Amino acid sequence: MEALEQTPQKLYQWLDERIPLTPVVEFLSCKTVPRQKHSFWYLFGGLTLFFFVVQVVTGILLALYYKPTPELAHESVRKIINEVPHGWLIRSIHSWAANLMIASLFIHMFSVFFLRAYRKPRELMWLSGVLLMFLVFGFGFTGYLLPWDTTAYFATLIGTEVPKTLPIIGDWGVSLLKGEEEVGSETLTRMYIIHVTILPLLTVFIISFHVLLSQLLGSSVPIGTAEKKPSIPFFPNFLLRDFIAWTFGACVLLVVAVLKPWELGPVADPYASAPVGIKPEWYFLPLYQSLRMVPATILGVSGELIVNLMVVVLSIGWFLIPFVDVQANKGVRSRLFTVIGLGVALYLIITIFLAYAT
Amino acid sequence: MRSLALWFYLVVMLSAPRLVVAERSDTTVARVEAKPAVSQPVVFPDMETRLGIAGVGFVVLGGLAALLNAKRRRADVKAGIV
Repeated sequence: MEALEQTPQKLYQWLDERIPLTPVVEFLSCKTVPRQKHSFWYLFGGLTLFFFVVQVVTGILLALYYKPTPELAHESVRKIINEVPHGWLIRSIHSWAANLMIASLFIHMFSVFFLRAYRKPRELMWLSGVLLMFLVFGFGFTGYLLPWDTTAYFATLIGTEVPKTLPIIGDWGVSLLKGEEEVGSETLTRMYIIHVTILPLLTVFIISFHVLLSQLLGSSVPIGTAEKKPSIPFFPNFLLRDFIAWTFGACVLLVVAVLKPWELGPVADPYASAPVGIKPEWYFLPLYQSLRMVPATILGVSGELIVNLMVVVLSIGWFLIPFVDVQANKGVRSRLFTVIGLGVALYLIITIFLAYAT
Repeated sequence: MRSLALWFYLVVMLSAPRLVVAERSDTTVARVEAKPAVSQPVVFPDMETRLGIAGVGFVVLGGLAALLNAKRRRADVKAGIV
């Protein structure tokens, strides 16, 4: 019994002699998290990471049965739902966790923005975080085609036409993504490979960099906020708070995945016309609604091209926020950037609402 | 810590085999691949079963959250965080 109780310590000693664990453990033991009235928002980064891990695990289970060809893709997903034990649940969790991950990511990103947590020395955390957001959008776009049902097919057909208007890279980028003139076998294979190898490799690498920086630099205290004493030790106190948040996240995920299982539409028919009222997922609706609202031409220039260029310019601007908001580095909260953040958040919410309502 | 580890062990051991292995034969695979692409309906478990699964999940995860919260309180008291 005594030997059993000493096993974890012996195992730790064995590992520590071969991998230098002690400096890491000492660092984590000393790390603290500031306590202030906005500490609650610190949990959403970890929650996003939790949903990503759920995606990886459920994605691997789905990949055991999925077949990435137009002839078999839809049937393999149908089999996962109807014949594989708990397959419907795993697929439903995978689809819902994607949406919850993106929702959590948006909350995390906007909380970092409004709390000015991107200011020096955390600029690289902001850059890696925004890059992760675009990678997650990539996951959503590539994964959407894989069931090869009507909605997935036509949503991808429409979605791959939009970037074509971008000068120089538009046509080339779309042909690289599609692999052929129309959305077909080549497109499905490429979307699958991008979804299960390229994007996960890039994402794991950038997440590791993002989390490492978060551990080394610690959590930012918002400008003008007093820090309560004492700070919370990261291990085990804040980590336990993280685990509680993840458990609540898992509970919400399980309840929605079970009560509203993810459907599978009829198999895609490339010769049919697009279904009436087809819309992309909610996180692509701001772009979709913007394209709908803009006139076909503005002063002789294609409306679609203007929207695409605006998206590119605003994305670059969003990347560069830590370097543009110089007042934040001086410890001053700029009202202009608060208005910009509110404007962006409201635009996203309003366009999503309009896209659903009209 | 031990009760948490036991909890995780039980959940993983009870659920893992059923998640990974499907009962199918090679002849089923051959039949699927020979079929043309035809839309067949997907069938989910009925609402009662799903409510049961959601309820069990809610209770299990709620229990885990309560365990973790109790542990958090003990750790906070030990660290002097009130």
